[in-house]
Amino acid sequence: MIDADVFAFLERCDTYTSAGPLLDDLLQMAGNFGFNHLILSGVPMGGQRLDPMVELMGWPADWFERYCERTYATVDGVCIYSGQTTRPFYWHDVPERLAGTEGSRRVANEATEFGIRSGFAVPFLSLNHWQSVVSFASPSKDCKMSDREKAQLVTMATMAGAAVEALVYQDEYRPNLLTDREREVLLWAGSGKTHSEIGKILGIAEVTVKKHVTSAKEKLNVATTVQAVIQAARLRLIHP
Amino acid sequence: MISVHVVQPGNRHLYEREFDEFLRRRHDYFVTKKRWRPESPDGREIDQFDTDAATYLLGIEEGQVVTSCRLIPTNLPHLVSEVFPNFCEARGVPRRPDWAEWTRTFVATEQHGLGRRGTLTQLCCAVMEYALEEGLTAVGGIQETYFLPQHKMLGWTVRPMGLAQEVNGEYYIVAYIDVTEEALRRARRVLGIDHSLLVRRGDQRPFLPLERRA
Repeated sequence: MIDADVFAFLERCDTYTSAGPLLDDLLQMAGNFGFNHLILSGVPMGGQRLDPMVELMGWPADWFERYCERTYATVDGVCIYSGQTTRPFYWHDVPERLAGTEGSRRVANEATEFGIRSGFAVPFLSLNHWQSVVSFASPSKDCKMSDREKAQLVTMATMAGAAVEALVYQDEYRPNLLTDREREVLLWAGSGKTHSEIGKILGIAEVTVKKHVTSAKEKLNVATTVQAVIQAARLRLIHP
Repeated sequence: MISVHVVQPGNRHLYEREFDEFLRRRHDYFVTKKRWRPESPDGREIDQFDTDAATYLLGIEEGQVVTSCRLIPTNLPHLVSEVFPNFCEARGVPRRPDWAEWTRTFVATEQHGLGRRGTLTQLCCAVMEYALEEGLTAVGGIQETYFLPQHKMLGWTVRPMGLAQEVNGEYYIVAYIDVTEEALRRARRVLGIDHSLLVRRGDQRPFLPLERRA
């Protein structure tokens, strides 16, 4: 691919008003490097669910379904490493301590049933998740790119990722996302208080505390109270 | 929210302590952590572009310098023109007084630096405000590709000058951002503010030479 094609793609990125056509475009560009599937997603951390964090889903649908259902994100070395490095990497360069586990090997084996044998991942800063990643998958056993091709793909992946996140979150300034009570309960939870202790401090029933926590978790799209506290702090809704 | 102080040769004496802290923070980050430059015995990082032509923006919160950066007109020698011109293969090295090179961005990590409304976003908003006030048309420079989404997230127009390239395993890209009223509005909307973040004390010199200003 010549660089002019890359810059033409970057310009198209800014013109899309929804994620779908951008995904198709990026997939087509990635095809030039031998990749036929891709996913663009926030990286799930500490047992978070993957599916609510996915912005562009270009995997085989049944593989994605299985991956989510069996919570493979928690054992897949590629996924875990995507949250631990800021550098682009080939999947086969994921450190052995992550890639060599039984769980990770199983995920890699099963992926081959869907024609996914190797890949390349580009992590980037996210203001909404811990960080985000575009991961490209190849049917070849050992995908390879020249330095030039790598530079082209990293440039396109980062700018596409940035464009998608900008699309999704542009107008998402929501200072009133959580109620005062929900913020109060999360603040106490963040300082280590149990539901029952928080109930006593605020003079409300424990079941009411639980109700506020559950509602906050739903609004913040997270699974646990700890994640809710962290996410609320990241969005500057609370200041623990 | 931070206050962002504009520091130049004319008012530098008002900021001796803060400026020294800024140089030590730079050393912590760019030398100790990133290993971009050799260690300096006095623990301060200074390079050949820290001349009287530079304007510094120091973000101060509760008396501490929590974020900072440096702006240099690109018609003068700057980091990209002298060290990384090969990053501008597609569009050429910019050399215009109204395009400022934005470098040495630092954010103290303990300050919730990278949240959507975090310190880095506040600094970006202040840079845009300063650039607009001074009549600049673009700001930018070399940065890790990893951080590029920050600007896009604010709804800013980001123009790469060439492809990303690998240096010691990390990818960098030279990109410039359009300076516009709309860009400032968007950054302020993200932060939920409608006031200025800039503080100008003492003697201030215009960024553009007077004859070039409209």
